[in-house]
Amino acid sequence: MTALTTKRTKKAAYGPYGKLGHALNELDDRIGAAKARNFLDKVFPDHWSFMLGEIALYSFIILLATGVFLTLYYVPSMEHVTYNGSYAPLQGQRVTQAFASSIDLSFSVRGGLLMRQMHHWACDIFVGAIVVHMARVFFTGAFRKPRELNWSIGNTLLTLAIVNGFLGYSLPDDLVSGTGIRIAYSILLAVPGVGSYLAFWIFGGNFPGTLILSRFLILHALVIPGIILAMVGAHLFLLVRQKHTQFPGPGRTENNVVGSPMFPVFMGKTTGFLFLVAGVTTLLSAFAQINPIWLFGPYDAAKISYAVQPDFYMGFLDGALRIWPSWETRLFGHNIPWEVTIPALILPGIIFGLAYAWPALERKITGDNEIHNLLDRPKDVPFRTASGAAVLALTVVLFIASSTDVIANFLHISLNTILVVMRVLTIIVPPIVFYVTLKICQELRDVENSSRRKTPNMVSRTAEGEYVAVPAPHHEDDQHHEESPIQVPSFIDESSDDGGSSGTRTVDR
Amino acid sequence: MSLRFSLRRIAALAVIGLLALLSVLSTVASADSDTDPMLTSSMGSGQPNSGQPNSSIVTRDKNGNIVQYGNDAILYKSPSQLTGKSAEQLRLLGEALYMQNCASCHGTKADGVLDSGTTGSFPSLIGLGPATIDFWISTGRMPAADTTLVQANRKTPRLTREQGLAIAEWVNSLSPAYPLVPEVNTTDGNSAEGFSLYALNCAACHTITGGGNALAYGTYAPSLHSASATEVVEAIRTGPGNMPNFSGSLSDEQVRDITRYVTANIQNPANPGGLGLGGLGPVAEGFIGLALGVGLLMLAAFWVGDRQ
Repeated sequence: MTALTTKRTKKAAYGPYGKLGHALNELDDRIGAAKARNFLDKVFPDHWSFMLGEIALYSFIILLATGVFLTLYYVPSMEHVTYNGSYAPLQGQRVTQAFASSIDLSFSVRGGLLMRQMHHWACDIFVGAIVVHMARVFFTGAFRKPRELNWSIGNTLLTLAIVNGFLGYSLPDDLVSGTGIRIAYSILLAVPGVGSYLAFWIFGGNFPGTLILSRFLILHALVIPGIILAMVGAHLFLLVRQKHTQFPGPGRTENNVVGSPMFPVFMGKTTGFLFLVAGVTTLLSAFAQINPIWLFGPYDAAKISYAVQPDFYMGFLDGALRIWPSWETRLFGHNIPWEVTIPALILPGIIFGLAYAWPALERKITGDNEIHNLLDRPKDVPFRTASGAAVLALTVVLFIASSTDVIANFLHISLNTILVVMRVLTIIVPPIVFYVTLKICQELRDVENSSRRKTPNMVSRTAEGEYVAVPAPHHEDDQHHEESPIQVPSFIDESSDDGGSSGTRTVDR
Repeated sequence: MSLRFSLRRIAALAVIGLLALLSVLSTVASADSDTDPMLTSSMGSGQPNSGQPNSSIVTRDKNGNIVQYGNDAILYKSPSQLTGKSAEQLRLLGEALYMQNCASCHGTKADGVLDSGTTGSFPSLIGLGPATIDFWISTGRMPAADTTLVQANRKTPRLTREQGLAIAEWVNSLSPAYPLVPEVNTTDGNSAEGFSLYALNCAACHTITGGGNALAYGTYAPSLHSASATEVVEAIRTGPGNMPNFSGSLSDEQVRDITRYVTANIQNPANPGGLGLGGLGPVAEGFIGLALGVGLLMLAAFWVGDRQ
């Protein structure tokens, strides 16, 4: 006897969750898809500073998307052609195909200039967001055990982002970026011992050669993005595996995480944030010009423009090169250009080396080998906060030193004076920043109720005519009411929102 | 409660204000940009000329003095030829103006005053040619407002063009020299050729976008954004201040092409892509990228996220 097949029986055959549920079940039978449910329950702390890393993540996505577009039109060839495109002041000039294709994709491809500008602005935002995110992680002590590995991965990501930014900046082969490649070549030459071999190996001969742009493209568009992508994957995997840190607060302990679950709260929030990042990047690209290569013209080793700087993330290197005194020694018949080796190789080596080594250094100094899931307030760890501020101050001073000429021109002060001033500032600003930050943090730490909101003083006059100031109690509305978090359910089928409706959850580690 | 509200409001106002400012500025910037039609090169016509009367077109006055020479690209004319007044008239006027405006520093015989006081020496004007004098006076650099400055600044000229040319005529009469005052025909110039020559010869100091920049010891390469075509040619041919004299290395056609690029493309660039950010390059771009890009997004995170 055959059962009557109606729509209702067909539907019932799929189970209570319908076709989608059936499909998911089938998937689960094969690859264990239900385990992803754990990921949907991942709890994200709600504090705004935890979203800074997402700016970097989403600008990287924009970089990938716009980068693919640009690769379709860019020709990585140093073959010379006669430019015949739409930009009149270049017509008839002999330029490399790389430069011609960069101009053409800006002027002749629909939306090309917007894409190029988005790629460049997203890059500036990418590196800037990494630095800001890194500062958050550093100053709150989020890098401490057990997260040292993730801190190192983040450091590597910053290094790769800077290197890849430089490579991409070099690709259009305009007058300014060609100068940058020339500087990079000289820095390679200054590597002790193997400099000339290294430079010849990378450039396939003497500068500029005919190979460097195709090599840069492979590195810029394939190798390094691949590594960055893998590193981002590892970064996020460790983040999920180790769970988030959190600021101390009511209901928050070393053994739990309080925040919103991945689905649906955080997913909605972060998707909206992706659109915000994309929106800001697009607005910037639509309204603010970046790197107008047509004004610079093609690169030619005989030509140079004054007043050129690298992108901001290379600025501290350029600044260090500019202000370093011209020290050179001759050793065993070889020229040792300390003026390049120190500022361009040793100095960034020290800064980044210090960043990599900091978690271990701090463990060693404090003797603290505990696992930390609760964050520090920066004021509570004055030495760390002061050290970080000093290093940031050093890079900022060096960045400003990369525009000595712009400052001199703007303020009508002699360039030589600015140079000396920048040398002095480079030496004295980091210690001053260190000391001032240290003192401020110690003050803040030691003053009671320092991070609380201040209340007005009530001044009253006694019968004798004496005035007395007494702090008023907190106003009712000023009190902060922390909502107590609800426990994440341990069984998947259990209804998750019985009781509280705040949307905040606690999960055990 | 009130603090939370005001922070939001500040963030929102900052976002709206900055975007509005950007959009207004970019419309203004795009309004005065226009494209440049391609021009055919007239290279090769006429003789190379370096500001000296060695070309085929040489006009002499009744006394046999050269009053005009040059070619299709640049015609060099004497002050009397330019103003339409006789040389004698101009000299009378020029001598009087010179004594009023210039003699206190350069001396009554225009041969300079060496090591006067604490401010160093004032150069001799003998044998410089009318183009030099015209350049310094017509750009307002002379008479100098402050003689203690390392480099005279461009300002609104105190003397009219004719007065300046009169002084040039009188000083030149003391010891006649070249170049005469150029008149350049930029319409036949080739922008592309000029761009290439500009990058090779000028950009190292004046920057590739013509904005000028500080040089060593308080000197600077001035901006080219307000230089007239005549001033550009005069500067190239006479080398004022620290600037080299390009007389031997650039032909009149090449100077015309450079002048064409400066006056047509640097001063009125076809420059799409939005607000130019002052032409300061990566410094301004980095600042905007950090302040507007990362800053706005941090505010957005502050808005989206929790603040406790």
